[in-house]
Amino acid sequence: MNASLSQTEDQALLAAFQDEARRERAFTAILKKYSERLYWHIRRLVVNHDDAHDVLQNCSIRAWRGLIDFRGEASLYTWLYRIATNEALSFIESQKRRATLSIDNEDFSLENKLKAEPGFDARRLEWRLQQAIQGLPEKQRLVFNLRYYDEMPYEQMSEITGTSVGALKASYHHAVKKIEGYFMNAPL
Amino acid sequence: MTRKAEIAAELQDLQSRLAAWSSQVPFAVPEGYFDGLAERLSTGVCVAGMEDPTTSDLPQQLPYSVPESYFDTLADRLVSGVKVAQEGIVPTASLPTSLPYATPGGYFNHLAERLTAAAQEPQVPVGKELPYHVPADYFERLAENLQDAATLSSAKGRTISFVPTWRHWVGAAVAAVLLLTFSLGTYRYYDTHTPDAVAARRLSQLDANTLISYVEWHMDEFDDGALESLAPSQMQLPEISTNDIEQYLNDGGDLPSKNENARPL
Repeated sequence: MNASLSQTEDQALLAAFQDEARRERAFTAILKKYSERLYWHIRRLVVNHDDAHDVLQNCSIRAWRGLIDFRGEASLYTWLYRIATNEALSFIESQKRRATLSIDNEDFSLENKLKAEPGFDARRLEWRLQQAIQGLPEKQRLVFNLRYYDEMPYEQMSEITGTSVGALKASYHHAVKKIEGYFMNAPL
Repeated sequence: MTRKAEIAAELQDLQSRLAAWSSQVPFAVPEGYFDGLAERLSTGVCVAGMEDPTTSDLPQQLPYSVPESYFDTLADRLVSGVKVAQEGIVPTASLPTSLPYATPGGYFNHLAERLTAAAQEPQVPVGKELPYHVPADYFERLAENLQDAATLSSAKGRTISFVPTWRHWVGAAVAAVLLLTFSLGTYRYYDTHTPDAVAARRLSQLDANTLISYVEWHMDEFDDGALESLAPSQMQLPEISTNDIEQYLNDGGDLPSKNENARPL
């Protein structure tokens, strides 16, 4: 019921967006509805708050430009999540390139960004879990976050990532095993 | 079953401790961040899409002064400058024709008469005597001094032969041997210390389990399809059933080889 209500709401917002007079208000309403979820999705990938805000802002700009042509093949939520995922992964790639070219040996690694987070404590379980997650390959990390934190069905994940459900399940299972292995090798 | 319960059950099937843990992330968020976030993002979108803001309150007149009639001949002057820069052509039409030198007043008056009178004045005869000083008795003692100098410089010099002796051949042979030894040594050193040679040496020291473990930890499942597409058809990849895959995922162990000739994964 909630899902269908949400979908109805999205359709109304999209219709309002098509009207130039109501476009900005409709867009603000869409952001009010989804920005916090998108923020956390991005934040779990890029770690740092300021980076997450920058990526979220870029994501909003892309959404604004792309919504005019949005035809509703996927749900608005899935479409926004796809943009956020691509923007976050592009950001991470650009950080890696900067690290390679940096003459000051600046460390842009996510592991160090995690350690720089306020309140970081390597003895606490929730921080160690984040360390384990940051050790996963990029796409496994993405799949794990979408499943474990966003509780996303595999079918919806498949629309976001463009990957088959079977491969996503395998990826998630691998990620869980690796996290288990991380805690086995370095117990609390 | 709710999605939360479904995911918890999935983790329990995987025998993961994550099933019992909280899924809260420990990241801090600045206070009030989400208040007005949508509006801030919206504003950012508008700013990104806007053209440069107009500044209608600012004056549009520049405060700079320009020489009078500057623009009247500007085009011609610019063209001249371009010609000079490109072709080295010096436009002479615009150059002044008068010299800036000053002459004494009345200089040219009766100049011809003055020059003629100067030419006719008797010349002072110039002698052939040189004004150099020569020491006393220099010429009387010159012959004796020259003889003494010749005697002193008559010592025999060392003869340098252009025909190579046996010492030259020995020296050349030793130099050739040293050069050959150095060249071979350098070649051998760099041949065994190229990055590829070093990498091959290190890889040969690793056991198979270490390599398999590394591949498992670093292989991204999404790339499996790309790898398979790259494999040539003659490689005869082993056929693996779905049950074997599931068992592999559950146990994390090696797949049972059904074909002795099958290549290990």
